[in-house]
Amino acid sequence: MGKGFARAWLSLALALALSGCRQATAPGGASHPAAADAGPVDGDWFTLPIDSDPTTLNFISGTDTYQELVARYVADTLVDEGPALETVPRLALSWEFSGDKKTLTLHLRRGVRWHDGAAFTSRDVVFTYRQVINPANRALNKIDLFRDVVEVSALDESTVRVVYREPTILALAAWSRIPIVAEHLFREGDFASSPVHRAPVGTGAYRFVSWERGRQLVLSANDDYFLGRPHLDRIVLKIIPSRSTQLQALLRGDVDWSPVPPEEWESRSRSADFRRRFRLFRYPVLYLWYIAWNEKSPFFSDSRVRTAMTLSIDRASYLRSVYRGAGTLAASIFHPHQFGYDPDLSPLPFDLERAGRLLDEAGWVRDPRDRVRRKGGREFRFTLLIFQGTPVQEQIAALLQEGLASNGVSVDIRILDFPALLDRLQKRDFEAAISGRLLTSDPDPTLFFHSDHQLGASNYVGYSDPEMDRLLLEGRHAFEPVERGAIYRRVQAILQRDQPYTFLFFPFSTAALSARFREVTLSPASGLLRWYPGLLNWYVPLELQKHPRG
Amino acid sequence: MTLAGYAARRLIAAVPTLIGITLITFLLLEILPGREAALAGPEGGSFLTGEAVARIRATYHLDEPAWRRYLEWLLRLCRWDLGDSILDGRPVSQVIQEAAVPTLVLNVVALAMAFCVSVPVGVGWARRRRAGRGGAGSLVSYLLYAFPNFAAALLLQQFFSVGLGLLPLQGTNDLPPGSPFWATARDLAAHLILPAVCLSYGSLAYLARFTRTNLLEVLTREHLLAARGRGIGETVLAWRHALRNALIPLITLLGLLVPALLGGSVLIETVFSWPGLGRLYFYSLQNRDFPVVLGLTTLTAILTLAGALLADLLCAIADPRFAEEVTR
Repeated sequence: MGKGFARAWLSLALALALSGCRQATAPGGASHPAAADAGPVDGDWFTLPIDSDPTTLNFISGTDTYQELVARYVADTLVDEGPALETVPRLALSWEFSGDKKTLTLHLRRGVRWHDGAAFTSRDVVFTYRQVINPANRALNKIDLFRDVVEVSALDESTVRVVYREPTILALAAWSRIPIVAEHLFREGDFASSPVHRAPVGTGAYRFVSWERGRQLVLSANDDYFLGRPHLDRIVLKIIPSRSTQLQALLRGDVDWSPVPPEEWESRSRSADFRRRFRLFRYPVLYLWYIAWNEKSPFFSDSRVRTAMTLSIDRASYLRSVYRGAGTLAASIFHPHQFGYDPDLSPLPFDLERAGRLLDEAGWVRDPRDRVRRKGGREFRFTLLIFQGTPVQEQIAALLQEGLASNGVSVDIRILDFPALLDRLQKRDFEAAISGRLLTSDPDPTLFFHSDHQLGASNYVGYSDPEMDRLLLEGRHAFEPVERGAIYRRVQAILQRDQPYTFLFFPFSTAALSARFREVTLSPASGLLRWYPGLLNWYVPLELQKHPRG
Repeated sequence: MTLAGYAARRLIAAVPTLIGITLITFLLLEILPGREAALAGPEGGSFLTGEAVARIRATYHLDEPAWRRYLEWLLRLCRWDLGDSILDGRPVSQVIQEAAVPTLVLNVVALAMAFCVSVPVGVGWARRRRAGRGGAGSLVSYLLYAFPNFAAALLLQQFFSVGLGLLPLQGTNDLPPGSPFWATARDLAAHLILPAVCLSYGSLAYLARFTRTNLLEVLTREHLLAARGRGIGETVLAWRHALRNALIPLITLLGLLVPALLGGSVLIETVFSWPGLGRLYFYSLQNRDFPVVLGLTTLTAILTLAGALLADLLCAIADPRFAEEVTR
């Protein structure tokens, strides 16, 4: 304690002497008189809470978030997403497409070594591809990324060629989701059961150290990383399943980062003590809350009815008051940070009167006796499915119920668990459902709106429009940004007109990070922890380090 | 018939019950929707194509008829092989064992705390019969009984851990594995206090009243009136003569609590990051990891049956008349 204090003063004196009494200011505006910053230094740990153990550290078969997070630090992908969702080099330094866009050639970094010292080569890339497409390895969320690949081959030690069945704009982005694994560590046919998946070896900026189930995972800095050693010595992922305990652990200093729920955001951001110790972050995530209207149900086949539904929810007030501003209204499935987003398209307003008129036009008129809307003797009363877990769906469902009640429409709400809801959606066994989903960095929405069963696997509502089908396929193959942008603007206009879903809003993530970390940069689209190189640049000034080196 | 014969008969009768329980569980899991979506993972689930669903069904042998899968499972069970977890591929017995140890430790401590406090309190209440229902202790115990334990958990965490910094906030240990024994034990004890208090305080009222009622009933029996007539003091009377008789229902209760020893509390385990069975059960069900769910149900069923048997045997030992009755 005494020693650390003395060192802090010494470095403060030094810094003052060097900087001419300039008081160092921490990012975010909080001032730290003791934190005179002498530039990036090595040392200290970053401890973060995670909700549960990764199910596996098999980077090929794993599908859960925390496996993926560990893979991002321990392994490398060929390319990655930069702060603006652009493709940035990682293990591949450069790449080019052939004239017909059917062949992708990737040029790999030379001199990269696996954590065990062996050299990384193009053979590892070919091996990784073979593991992904081998059904025995259960790469359930990756195998489809290579659906259009004919062949992956190594031209020489550091060149990989990928041949595609047809040109696709998604070819390169797919490689940002595949962590490369080391061929030399596996014997023929033992990939799925290999012990390597309990102690993975990668080329990444952090080496795997230990995994105590139910307690924590520890990673340590890779001195030989090709971008240079990351500054933080260790990343410790502590398993803390309760979000409220995570926040308490942050206050106690047990962890350095924690999500802050929207309802806590205001009180925390007003507290001077909290702001001195932590930096608050609020950033968009690629996630969308929506209501699906099944077009095969007798109620929602008419786009006027679906539009009336959207007009009946006061989303703006909800976001402002209940959700404390932690989200932006959606006009369509295109996220403001995705390519092709049309800023001129505004979300439908809250307008009960217009909703009523549209319902009248669609033939759902009010019965003068009981004010209930009917059409051909059928009462307008439907079941809305929601899933348990977050309060958002229940609140939105209540808002919709209230808005529609004043228009003579009744809603019955039914709660399921998430897999059960997904099952009902996939079987189109529902009338209306609130759900949410992750979006990908590429905006291609073919999966949601194409009428073909295979192409539109997530077209839960049975949406079908010939112009949309054509535009979606054109968008996939439009390599010119201007052309592709124009296609997607038209797609958004059609979605606005047809309202196959009510696109509710895009939520933000809210989190707090210990103020001792420097060079913390936020990616507008992928937050704090998941973009590349992001975390690899963080450091803690010597006098603030909790776990100094050595 | 001897006591051993009685035990053997009960054991044999338990087999069909056990099979029935596993069959019902299996059937319930079969009709639970969302299996393919859950197996594809949190993100994979949203990208499922018909092709992918077929692939998942084939990978996990879901395309085989249910009766065959159940029979295969049952045959493996006979060799005490519960299969492998779908989520992480490890043997179910290992997954359960890992979670059973923390749950067992926590529950034994919580139960011991509950009994150590509630039996003396119950005896005290019984001796002050006239305090009756209106007593302050009784009121406090009712309030505790009604107070939800997850709320208590948050308050205790905030006060003792974040505020005063006296106790660890969460987890089972801070020291790395392989630390000296006493340091490890002290570390574990510190981590145990808050969750054990949260698990036990609710049952104080119940157990104390249970002790009191039984003791009161026993104290009015004739042999105790006679003992009092001989001038034996109230304290000795209550503790030495009456309590032994009043213990029989308490032992029965304890026997029924044996399966509860391995019944983890999802809420408490979650709030305190305690890697126990409650969380495992919840998580496995949520992710449709059916081998683990089936394994846990089988284990609970076996423990419940064993606990009931154990309680009967203990009662027989404590009260020979009971043994006579069951062996007749």
